[in-house]
Amino acid sequence: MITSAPPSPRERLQPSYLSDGTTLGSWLFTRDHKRIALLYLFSITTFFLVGGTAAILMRLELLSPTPYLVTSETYNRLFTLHGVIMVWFFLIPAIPNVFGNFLLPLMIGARDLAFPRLNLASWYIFMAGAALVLYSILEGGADTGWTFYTPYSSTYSNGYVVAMASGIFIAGFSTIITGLNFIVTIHTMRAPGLRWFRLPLFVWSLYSTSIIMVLATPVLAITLLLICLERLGGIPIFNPNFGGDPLLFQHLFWFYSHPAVYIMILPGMGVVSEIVTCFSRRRIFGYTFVAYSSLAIAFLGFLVWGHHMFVSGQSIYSGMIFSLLSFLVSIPSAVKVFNWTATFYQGRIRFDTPLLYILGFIGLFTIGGLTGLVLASLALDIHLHDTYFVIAHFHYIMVGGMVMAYFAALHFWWPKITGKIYPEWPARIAAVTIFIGFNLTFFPQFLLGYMGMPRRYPYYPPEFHFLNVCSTCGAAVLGLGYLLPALYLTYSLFFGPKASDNPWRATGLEWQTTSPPPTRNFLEIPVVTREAYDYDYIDSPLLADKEAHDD
Amino acid sequence: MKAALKPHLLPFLALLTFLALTVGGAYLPLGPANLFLALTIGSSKTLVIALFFMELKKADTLLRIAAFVGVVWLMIFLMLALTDYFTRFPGSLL
Amino acid sequence: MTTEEVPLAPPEEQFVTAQQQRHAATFGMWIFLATEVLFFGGLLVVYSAYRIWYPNDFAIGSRHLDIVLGTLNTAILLTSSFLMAGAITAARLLDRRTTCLLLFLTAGCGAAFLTVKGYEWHTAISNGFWPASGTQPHGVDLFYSLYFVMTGLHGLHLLIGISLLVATSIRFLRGVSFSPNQNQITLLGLYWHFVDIVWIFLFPLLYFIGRSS
Repeated sequence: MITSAPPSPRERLQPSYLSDGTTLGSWLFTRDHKRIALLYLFSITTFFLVGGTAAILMRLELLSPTPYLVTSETYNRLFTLHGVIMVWFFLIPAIPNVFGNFLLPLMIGARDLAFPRLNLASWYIFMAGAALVLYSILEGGADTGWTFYTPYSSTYSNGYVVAMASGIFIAGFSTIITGLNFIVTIHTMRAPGLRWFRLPLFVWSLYSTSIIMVLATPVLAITLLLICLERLGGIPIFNPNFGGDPLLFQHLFWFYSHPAVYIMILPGMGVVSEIVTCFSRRRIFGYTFVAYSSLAIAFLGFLVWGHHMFVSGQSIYSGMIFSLLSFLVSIPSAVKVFNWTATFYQGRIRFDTPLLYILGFIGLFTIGGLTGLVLASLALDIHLHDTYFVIAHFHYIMVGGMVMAYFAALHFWWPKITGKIYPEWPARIAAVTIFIGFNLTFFPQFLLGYMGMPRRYPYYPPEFHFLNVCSTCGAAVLGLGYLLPALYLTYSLFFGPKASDNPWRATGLEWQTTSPPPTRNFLEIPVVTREAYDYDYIDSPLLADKEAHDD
Repeated sequence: MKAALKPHLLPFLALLTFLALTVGGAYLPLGPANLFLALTIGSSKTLVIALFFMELKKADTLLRIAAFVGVVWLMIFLMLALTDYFTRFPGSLL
Repeated sequence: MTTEEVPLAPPEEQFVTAQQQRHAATFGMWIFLATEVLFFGGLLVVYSAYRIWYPNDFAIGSRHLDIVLGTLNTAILLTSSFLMAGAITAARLLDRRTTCLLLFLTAGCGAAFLTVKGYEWHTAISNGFWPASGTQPHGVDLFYSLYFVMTGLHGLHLLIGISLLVATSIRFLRGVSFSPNQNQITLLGLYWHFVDIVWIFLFPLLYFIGRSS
């Protein structure tokens, strides 16, 4: 999708966004979407460590069939902490608020998002929510699980439910603001010539994600508010002693939380499309289908929430409808997997680090997705609900899929964001370590769940011992794998070679400006004349000749 | 003052008329249709406000879609969730 | 006053034209209103579920609400929307005094609504309908839980609207230039009209259950 020439000498004289202001204030009061993206990067990395620590403690506890490390009560608080932090303070903001914020204006040829001050406000709101949640954790946390089921959470729990729920409530506004900003930006600020079907698929995925963010999150907000009101004011809403229906909470909660998992995975899918095309040097197979599949996932994702409630006591007729709809929602995801695979065909594939992560994504997401179909079957779910099968299923998608996509994005756009090249071989080793560690951790959990081990228990029958030990060993490898990028990426900031504007020779407007970009992104707004992913053009000898003459 | 308010007088009078219909209609013995009537009149008031006061009549398609998408999604939520509440009652086995 | 074409202030850096900026801002506000529909919508789902389960108790609860006050409040809010629309027109006519007067009157209507609502709450509570008191049948308790939460949330939104109206009016009285800010009043109007629409639905849903029998 190239158009104008690579950055001119005049553009190179602009200060990059990193050096444009070096005081703390210039960062904390910035309106620059790129700096805000880095603020988010710092935050979510911290929260990933917090959530990961809880996971380590849980896996250590599960080394033994009988409790030895923590009490049951503490274990409850650990898995609640792990879920809350990982879902709301890592997975949901990771790609949209770091890569979406950084790349969206660049990809559409704009100077910033539509509402830069709202963007900064969203980060502060996010941090305020996080502060409340961390406060509740330090005070001991909640023991309700990240799902806050009533009437335990609204009436009987002794944990810090209101503080935690309020923190999530506040953080939700950050999500809504981000989604609103993205939707308005994509509709109103595309560069001249940038029709909808010339957009990078990452933009399509951000757009679909934003629709979900904007329509689902308010329902979470009212649900958490109702829990707090019931807890604080004693106003009966879900309390069965007053005729309330605890299941009503679950309807409200899952109406948000199922679309929320699509908020988490859709941006990752967008990253996959970007990287698959670049590292096979080919146009995406079936651009229109992939674009529409993002929208389809966003829409259909709202129709399936009852599959979390098959055994909760909801009416069997509702269960049947939700099961059918859940089968339907797998179709657009499958379309994407087929199209990515087809894109590789007859491509000139380069196994650089981003592609290694993406290959992991495609395989692991497919396994996760197929096991989702297993869970969507009413009869099977009766046996598998609340077992480790469910845990393995969503970790295959979230960790095997989404976190891998996140690391792929981190490596792919690292030169653009920081202006430095990371060392390739340590990166490849880390990617393989993560892949091995991940499978060692979570594949045994499919087996454990199938054999009946329930989730959220710190102890288990002795016949599950071996697989749990495998899983914990895997977690150790996985943790090591996650540590490596922290080390070599930091190393690259100080000692890495400088990056050129387009080290991957990728299409996309973000590669047509300097690495790192200047504050205002482009000296002149580019005009788009080519389709997306025009790798035939960018790899053609004609262009190489032209560039040789320009230099 | 008159110049500012005059263009909006007709919609306002329509709204007051609808209000009278709401109150009057509630006392008609229509059984379950009372709810339907009340919601229809409410929707009419909403349309008047949206089209005239909120200027949706003059707006482009994008704004109109944004205006109605929330309602559409809410309808989806209500319809699917209420399948549970129409087929299950407090104290029943289902 | 004439409706001459007022030159718009230069757009912010990320926009190309002022027209683009205003369109983006209006679009953004409509998206925000969509989120509010779903926010209140969640309460509507709770209401619908319990009304299906406890139709008679809901009717009992509803009959204890005062129709006269409810109708009065609805009329007040409809008037406030009328005045708000007038304020927007006055701003476009560059009539600063009329704009600020109408903004204040709109806020005044909002305040009147809240006063009446406060009185209704007081009456309900002193008649023993506070849900946690447990003196009523289950469905009546749930009805009043919903009544207080729905009208409370609506009232909170109204209060925010009133504050914004007063603040905006004072800013303009202090001489802030009109033309770049005409959109601000339009956006404020959209919010205010939305809060009115929420009440338009709350009114029959809360006050008119089973009145015909």
